[in-house]
Amino acid sequence: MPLAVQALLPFMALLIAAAVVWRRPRHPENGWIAVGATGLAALVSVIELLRLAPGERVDVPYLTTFPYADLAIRLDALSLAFSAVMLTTAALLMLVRLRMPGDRRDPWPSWLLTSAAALAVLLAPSLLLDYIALQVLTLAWSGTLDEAAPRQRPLRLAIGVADVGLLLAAASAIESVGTSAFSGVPSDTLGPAAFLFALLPVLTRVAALALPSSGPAAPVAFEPAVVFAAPAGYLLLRLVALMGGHLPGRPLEIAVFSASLLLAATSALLLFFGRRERPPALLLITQAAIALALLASSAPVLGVASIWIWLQLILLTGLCSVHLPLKRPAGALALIALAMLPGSAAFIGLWIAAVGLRASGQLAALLAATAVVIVAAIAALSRLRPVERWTIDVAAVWGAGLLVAAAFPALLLSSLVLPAGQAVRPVAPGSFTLSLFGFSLARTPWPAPLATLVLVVASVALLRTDRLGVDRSLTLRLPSLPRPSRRVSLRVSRRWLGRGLWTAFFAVIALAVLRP
Amino acid sequence: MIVWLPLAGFVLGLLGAYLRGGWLRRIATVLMLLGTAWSIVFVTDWRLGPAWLIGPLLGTLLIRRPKATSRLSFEALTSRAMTLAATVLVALFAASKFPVGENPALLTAVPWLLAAVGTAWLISPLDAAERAQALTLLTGAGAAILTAAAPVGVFTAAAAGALALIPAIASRWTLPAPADQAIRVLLLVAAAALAAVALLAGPLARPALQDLTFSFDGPALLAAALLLTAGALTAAPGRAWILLPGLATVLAVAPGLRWAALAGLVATGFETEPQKERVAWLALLLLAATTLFAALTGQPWSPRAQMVGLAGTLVLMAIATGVRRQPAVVLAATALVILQSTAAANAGLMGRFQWVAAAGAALLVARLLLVTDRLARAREPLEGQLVLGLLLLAVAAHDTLGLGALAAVLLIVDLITVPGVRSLASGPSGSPSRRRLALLLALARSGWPPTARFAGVTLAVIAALQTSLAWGLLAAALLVALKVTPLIKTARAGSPPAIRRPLALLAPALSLACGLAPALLLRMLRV
Repeated sequence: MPLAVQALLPFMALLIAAAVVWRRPRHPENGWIAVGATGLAALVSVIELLRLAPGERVDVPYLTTFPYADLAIRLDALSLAFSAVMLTTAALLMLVRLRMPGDRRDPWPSWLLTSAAALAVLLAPSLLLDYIALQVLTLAWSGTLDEAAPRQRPLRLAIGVADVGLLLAAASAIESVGTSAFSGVPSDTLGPAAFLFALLPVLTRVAALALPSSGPAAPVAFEPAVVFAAPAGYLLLRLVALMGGHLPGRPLEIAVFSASLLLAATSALLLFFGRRERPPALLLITQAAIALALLASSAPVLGVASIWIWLQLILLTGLCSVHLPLKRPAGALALIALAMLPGSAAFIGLWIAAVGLRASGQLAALLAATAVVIVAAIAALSRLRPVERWTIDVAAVWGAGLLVAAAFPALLLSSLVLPAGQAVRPVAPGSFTLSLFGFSLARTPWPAPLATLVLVVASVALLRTDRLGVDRSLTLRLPSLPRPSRRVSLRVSRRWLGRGLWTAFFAVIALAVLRP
Repeated sequence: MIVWLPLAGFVLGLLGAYLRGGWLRRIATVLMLLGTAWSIVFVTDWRLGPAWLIGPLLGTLLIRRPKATSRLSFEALTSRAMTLAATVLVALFAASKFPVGENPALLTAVPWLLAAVGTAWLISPLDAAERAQALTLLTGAGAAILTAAAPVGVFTAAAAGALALIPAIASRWTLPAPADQAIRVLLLVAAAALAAVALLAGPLARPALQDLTFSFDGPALLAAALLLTAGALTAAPGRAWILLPGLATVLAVAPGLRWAALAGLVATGFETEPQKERVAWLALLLLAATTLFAALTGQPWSPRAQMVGLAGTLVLMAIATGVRRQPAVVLAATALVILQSTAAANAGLMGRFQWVAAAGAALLVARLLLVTDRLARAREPLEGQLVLGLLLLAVAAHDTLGLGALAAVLLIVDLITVPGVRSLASGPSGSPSRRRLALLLALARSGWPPTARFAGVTLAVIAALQTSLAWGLLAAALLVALKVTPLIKTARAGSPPAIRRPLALLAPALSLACGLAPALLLRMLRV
């Protein structure tokens, strides 16, 4: 099959399914069609990823319709790894939604189109096309053709404004080297300002994880994982890959590391001291901020650590987007995964990072990150409640799947994470030694199955007791600013202001003529 | 002594026109025109005066104005006299600053005086017929001034003068609906043909009728196609034919002819908005002045003044037209003319253009923020002003990649299509296929991809950043403001628009097509 067709297969699966379910609304089989198509798209992404040679990247061009944003698809390990995980998460969310009785809404066309738009973001070959795809994604998930529609308007507009940062970065690359294509931009093209501008969409989407989406009545929220977490992680890693694997300048590295860790610590502390009813959002932000901080460091294996954390974060965000009572197994499993305990999926990334930081002599950074992780873990564990009914549903299997991934990380490391890591920041060959019983890095082994087994046993024991649910009396309250008692009115005549404007305009005209 | 005769004839005509009514007034107006033609004969070539005279003369004869039945009040008389005195003074001053060779100032002042009379009648017209007469005189006077300043051939002078017929014909006849519809279809077919030629055939040889020359390069063909489409989509009922002579705005080579064609479009684009019309004529005055500056080659500030004049013209025209439906074609024509005029400008001169454009963009937005009247705000939405601001920046960008021009063209497409889409009546959606069509319409009138607006604003920011960092940040600030405007807007109520006429589908289709494939437009611009 020609490569041009292969690259289109995931899109075709999603779009054809969207067309089918759109033509026959409320058909009982629509959900299964959506799940099947999204699963098929994920499978195609995995197959494409496995067929790629190490370090191989392919740009498949189709049409030149938009200047400097040729319609093309970029197939490399980073984009395909994120596509596979994002589409798997989407398929799982659809499956969970399908198994939930009672909700008569028909979200399938919208979800399929959103998945396709998110896939376009992940497979776009240039910064400019990425910007365009992000706009399409916003349109797809919000479904608001009228920009003034009230549905999630502040969030939509905030994301739209932040995306302008990516446009500026793309324009800066075009201005410097005549293209914004990932394969054509030299690593020193984007400076600190362009990087910070491009970081805006990432940060906005990470912040969006904290917001409740799809309304309070929705049992499954599709947006957090597919629309916010996956594009945010991918954009961040792609930007770093574009800059040769490191941020532009040591001061910026330190600033980004510190700011990210501060964000992680703040969200963990907010959860620890606060009385939020929905702790996952803050813990997701903590993990995302840690992943961002790790990427700021230039140690080679930290790129791999960051990719691992981002990829598991997409799956974890998806799991947390399902309405999970904490007294059910799925809720407890999600909270354990969020706690980043040894044996959990997130801890694999943390462990790789710890080894990397120790090897590169960045002990202060290691200590700071460890402190934040400990606070987050304590905050998460303090929210655990005893499981009342040990029922098995899709979400519980999903949570257990995350533990299985943590127990046997070699498969995911070899097929997804390490190839993607090579695309971001090359790792020396032989750094990782993978086996069924874990892996070792810099001669430091991590007994993953054993650690996960210990975690599972400890968790089950803990969840069966009634000693959970410590009531904290300490509650953080931000000081409130005094409000001005009365408005100060400006008594300036609008007419005179208008005349002033015109005068200024004519002054500029005169200046433009007279200035030599 | 003989050189005073045109002025004497003109003054005699002026007195007659002000002191008498009915057919005597018409004869007096003709006398003013004869004085102007005589002046052109003396200043340039004996054939140019009569050639120019044909259009304004026929226009004047076409306008029927019944004899006034009541006398004017003292206030009205004083106001008219004061207006005339002021405009005559300004005209004499301008004539002294823009001399034509070694000719006596009072001889070259006659066309300026004709413009002064036209302006005075436009500022305070007695009735619709006097307004039409004023527009005819203004268009004719502008053509006469430019013909005298930059002498052309007989055919060009005749064509420029003939364009003064447009306001007279428009005021007298309105085409019946079937004929108007047929002309709109014809305009669209012609636009498609021109676009196809621009895309496939490349630049064509300049056709010429004696001295009357037209340019048929890629940008000119694209501009012509845009204008024809704009005419078909946005012209007032019965007025689509105006775009046929209006094509000279972008296709003619002689600046006088281009100006007269644009004046014809302005004369018919603002019938219900006299205040906006005055601003538009001010913009046209500035545009005429840029042509006159070009004649003053000895002055070191002449090129600077030309550039600033062009930028000022665009800003004033944007303020005059806003994003309303019918004057959209005027702004489109002005922007296209200025894009063509600045194509060969150097970076230093474009810097001055950019100063004025930036100030204009700020003015467009800031003056709207001062408006408190809800009705006025609804007429001129902030969103539209921001798009106009980005249009100014795009025209001024002048980057080497040509993205500024492309962004400007896309924003012009948005300008001429979106009012058409917005005007579609709301109603029940009906069948599923009509619902899908309505969804497409709703997409076309939004700012999402792949609309022309989205492509235009995106490319405007990129083009602005190619120009300079400050320029890019200004464009980004406007884009951010554009993204935030929905916060202060209310959502459109009711169901999506329903489609009543097949032609109404063209506006959204064009917007989406241009937004999907702007590279094709860029190819036309580069031919």
